Amino acid sequence: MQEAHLFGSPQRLNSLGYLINILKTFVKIIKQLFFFIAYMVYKHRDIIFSKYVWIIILGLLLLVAIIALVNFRTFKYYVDEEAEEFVVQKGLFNKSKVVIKFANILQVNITQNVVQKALSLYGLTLDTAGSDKVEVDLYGLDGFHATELKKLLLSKIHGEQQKVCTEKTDILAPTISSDKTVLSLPAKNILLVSLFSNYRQGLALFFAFLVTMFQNFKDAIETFELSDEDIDTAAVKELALASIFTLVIIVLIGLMTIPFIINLVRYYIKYYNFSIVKNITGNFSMQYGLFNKVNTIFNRDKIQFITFKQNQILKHFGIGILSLKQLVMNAAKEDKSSIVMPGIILADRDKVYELAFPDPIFENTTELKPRIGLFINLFIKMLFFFGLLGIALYYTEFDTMLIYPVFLILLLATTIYNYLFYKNYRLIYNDNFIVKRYGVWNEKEIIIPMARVQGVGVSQTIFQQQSSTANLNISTAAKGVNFRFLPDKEVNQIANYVLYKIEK
Amino acid sequence: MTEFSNKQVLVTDLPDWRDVRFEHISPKYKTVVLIQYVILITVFLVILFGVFWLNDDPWNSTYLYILFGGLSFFILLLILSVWSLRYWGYALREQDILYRSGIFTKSIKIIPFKQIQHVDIKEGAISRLFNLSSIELHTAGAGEGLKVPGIESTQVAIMQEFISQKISQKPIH
Repeated sequence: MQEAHLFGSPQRLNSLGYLINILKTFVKIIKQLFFFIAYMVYKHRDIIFSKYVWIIILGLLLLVAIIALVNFRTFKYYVDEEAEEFVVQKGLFNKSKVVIKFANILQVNITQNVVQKALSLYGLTLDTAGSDKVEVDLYGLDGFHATELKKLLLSKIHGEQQKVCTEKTDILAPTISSDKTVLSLPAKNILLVSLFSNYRQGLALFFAFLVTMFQNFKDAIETFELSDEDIDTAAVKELALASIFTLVIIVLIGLMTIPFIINLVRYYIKYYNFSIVKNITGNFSMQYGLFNKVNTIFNRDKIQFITFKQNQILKHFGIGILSLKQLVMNAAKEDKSSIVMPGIILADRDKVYELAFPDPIFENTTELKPRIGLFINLFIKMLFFFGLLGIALYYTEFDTMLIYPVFLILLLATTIYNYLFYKNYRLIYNDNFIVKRYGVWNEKEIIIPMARVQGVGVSQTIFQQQSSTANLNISTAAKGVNFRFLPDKEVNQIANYVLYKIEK
Repeated sequence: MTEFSNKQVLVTDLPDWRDVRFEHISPKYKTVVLIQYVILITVFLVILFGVFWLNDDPWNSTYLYILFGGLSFFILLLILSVWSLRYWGYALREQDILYRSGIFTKSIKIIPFKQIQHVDIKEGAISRLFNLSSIELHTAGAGEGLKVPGIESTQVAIMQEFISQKISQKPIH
């Protein structure tokens, strides 16, 4: 009952939160006025040196301080236990009140960014069903209030959930003893993943980098040629040779480090110290982050499907990358709404599967292989692409004698790749799940629980009609997944069965 | 293994979507598509004439190539679109809605009413002249949803009523 007293009446945030609010308001105003300021500076350059500018800046700061003060003083939150609501009030003239029913709260997150860390404050955000916009952001709570409020809200949500899914929690209870770390990702594994994955993205970025480098290089040479003729040509050659040498070194270093650096940001910094913990209340929560610390509930209702991928190097180490794909509101935020576990070992992966899905995934499964049509389709597409490439090469009048062997080797390699792709392609299903397994170098596994399927599609091209194959398209709230060139009888059966599972 | 064979029986006993009788979309929709293409071709011709008329030599070979190439491309598309409409159709079952489309790639999309978030009715300017509407079904998140064009306006209202009723029946979690 003590917590109820603590949050029963409208509360203000910690007074240090005022500083955060000043910063937030300032950033907001700068963001809104950015183009205006940029335009003014560009148009009237001399304005920077006039004394009025300082008066304006001073006035702006004062304005920010006042706005922030009003915002801060009027921002109040409380827990209404009778109505089962969490309420946030704000505004002086335009009063607004955000009311969230306990039943609609999906996740309670505790976060801490760099500013908050410096002030030893925490942020608490609530994710609700229906929209992915953060409706409630308590940005300035001290540690005590943050944990107490989280505990209180969790117990409320938990109370709500207990009626619905008691048996689910019972299943999980015997396997994991209370209040302990279920799994954690060692920093070593995240580093390994960072070293050995995402070459393609790295390569693409690197080529963009190379092109700009090449452009600069060409410009440099042109300027040399255009400058005074009495420059020592030997010296120019030496310089050019030296720059070619440095270029090669830059290429080599870039090829090795760029994917690594991208991965460091994507995996190491974001998911540093990843762990899943079981609380005393019986909820599972995830904690991660090096600078921006995140603490969020592991909410199985939010998970749409799970993907697990590993390339051949990571397979050798017995680790992979697991992603929990959650509800996506718009395509641009796809990356944001998934939680990644880089460098997870296989035993831990199975633990996550168990946490996410109450039913066993790989029991009584049936495996479906695609027909040869998949390979033929890929082969024709490849021929088309190489044909275009060949024509392009023919017209550029390269040294064709050298190009053709390379061309043939590439053609052969792609054919083998396509064949392996066709050979590895699988649809696996049982009573509750559809699993797609594919990939040659990167082996991917996508697990879709049938209960999360939003729609089913079956398509058949005129070529597929003759070989009686069809494609299955499963649409979920996170993304659609396609299964191609499977026997049409089975495809229709699966479609009927999935619909039956959802509708019964 | 016993459980496995049990499921197989179940699967064959399930209602098959191929058993449903699809209702064709309104034949008047062919006219709508025709008018849309006529407008498109007119715009194409106007732009082409606009560009080449300003030149000194409007009847040169490049112009003719683009003119006939473009025209035959649009007319081919028009014929295919109108022809494919024969196959387009939709069907309502107790629990879901089916939509069939395509010519070279025949595809069926099925969305259970349980997963539908809301229903929209849209009327294009040309469709309105023929009393036709399209119905749009939206699912949660990035789910693709469904759009069925060319249904009689009176029928769309009945469909929307039916689907809305089905949606409101589902338990809110």
